[in-house]
Amino acid sequence: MAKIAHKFDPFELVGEEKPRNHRAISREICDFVLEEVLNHVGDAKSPVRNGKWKSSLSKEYKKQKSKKSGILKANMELSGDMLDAMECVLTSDGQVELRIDGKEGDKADGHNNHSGRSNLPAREFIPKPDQTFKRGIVAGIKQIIKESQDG
Amino acid sequence: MGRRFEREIAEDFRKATDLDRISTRSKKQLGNSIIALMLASIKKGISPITGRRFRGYKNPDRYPGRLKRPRPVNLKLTGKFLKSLSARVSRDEIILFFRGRKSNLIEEGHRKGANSQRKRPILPQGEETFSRSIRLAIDKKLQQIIDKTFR
Repeated sequence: MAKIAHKFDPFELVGEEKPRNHRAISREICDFVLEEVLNHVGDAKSPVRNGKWKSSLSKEYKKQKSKKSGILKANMELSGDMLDAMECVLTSDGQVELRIDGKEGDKADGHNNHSGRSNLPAREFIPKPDQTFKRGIVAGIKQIIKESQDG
Repeated sequence: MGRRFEREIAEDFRKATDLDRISTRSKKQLGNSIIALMLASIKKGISPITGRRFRGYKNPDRYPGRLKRPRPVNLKLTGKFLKSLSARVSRDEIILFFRGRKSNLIEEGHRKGANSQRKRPILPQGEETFSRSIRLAIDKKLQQIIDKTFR
């Protein structure tokens, strides 16, 4: 069972000094990142900068999906279990980790291909270690940090 | 029967130096933008309060059964309920509410988890507020209005 994750230091990402209350701010950033990733995936778009996203579905899969979902675009939701398993947590070393663990991690690897072993169509929604989030998401992270500094 | 969400928005308006100079039209526009943000989120099965996914149906065979497909959990059956989400404005408040008795009952049911369904509140109440992404988008919109008004 795979764990597909992206771990990052939000302050380092946007080039800001870590304030004393950095854990509280990082918790807010966790909420924001998870919501933004879900929003992008729900719109069938990659939240990863320059991330790949195959927008079309195969004929057979479309047929299978039409029985369970009212949305026939590549929004990564069939049973909903994989997206339900996605979480964003604050690690003990103060970093933010977006992840899907356990059984659903295998499914997530199928599209994100962190292992490099998948042949499924690429739909990247959890950045690899050398990737990051789209500009809009990074700008949101910066805004949250700025707001906390403004008090 | 209108449900009020006034706290945070009212506070933001008070931050502006000359409230009377922000037109009713601009406030109404902001109210409608908030509704659009909420509906876009709900459509993808994401709570506009927590920013997390609405939990799936307990027993999809029983409900929604043949009435609709079980995914996404988007609170849409006929569409009338979500269409009745409205905004009205006063001097320093934007009030979001559901039009009509039936829609208010449905909202109450989602909030309390009536008929043993899972709780899926939509309008922030008491200590609740909008999700982080929606709050950032509201701030951006409000800033645009303030810039336009005071330029």
